[in-house]
Amino acid sequence: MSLLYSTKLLSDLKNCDLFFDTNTFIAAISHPDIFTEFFQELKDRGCAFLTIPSVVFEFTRGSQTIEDFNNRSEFINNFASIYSIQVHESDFQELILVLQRLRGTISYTDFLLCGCLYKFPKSFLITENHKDFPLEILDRKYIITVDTEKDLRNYGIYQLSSDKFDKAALNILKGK
Amino acid sequence: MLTWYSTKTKLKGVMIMKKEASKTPKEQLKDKLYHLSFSMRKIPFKAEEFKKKAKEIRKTFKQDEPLIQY
Repeated sequence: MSLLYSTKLLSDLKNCDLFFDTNTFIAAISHPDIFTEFFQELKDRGCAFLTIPSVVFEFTRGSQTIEDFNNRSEFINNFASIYSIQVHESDFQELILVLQRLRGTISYTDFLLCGCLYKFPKSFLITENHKDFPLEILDRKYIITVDTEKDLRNYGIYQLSSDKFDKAALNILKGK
Repeated sequence: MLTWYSTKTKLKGVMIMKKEASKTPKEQLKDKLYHLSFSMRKIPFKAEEFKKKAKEIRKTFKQDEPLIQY
């Protein structure tokens, strides 16, 4: 089992904010032996781990007991800061319009994660969901490959591209 | 609604952060204070604790529960 990524990734994420999607948390608890060293490397470089309340909701919804729920909540709270991005939702009207045009079926959680990248253009997002985070407005900066005995999984690190976003918005304005 | 989109010229500059600029000083201060209080929260990463907790939680996932949820 191994984790493969560009060494440039670590220097580029130095002192940056990294938002986590639900699937990355699930991957982290599924393969802690693989991910721990990687997370440690990022933390050592001053990278801040963040997520949003709706990711916490998704992560905890499979809990069978109150104890499980508390364990999962505590795990996320000890691992990442929970940023209430939804309080800034009134700033996202442009983003909503662009995202709904590009990805009509996007979930609310994914929309809010895009909102994080939009609100903080220097921040990054790590996710395994590549279909709902449109490359029409985002750059996929890095790919992390997890090679397990069972399968091969790819995690993308995304960042908002202002140029792409403007172009996508312009196309909507032109009615394309 | 969506009046900022009705412009036909120079879309760039009207787009990102337009809302930010249109906020009142009080709203801007409130935003800044929120970010400041948030950025002061530094969570240290404890590798051994992370591994231990992750393994505990992993056990609570049902066998048929999909590991990756969208």
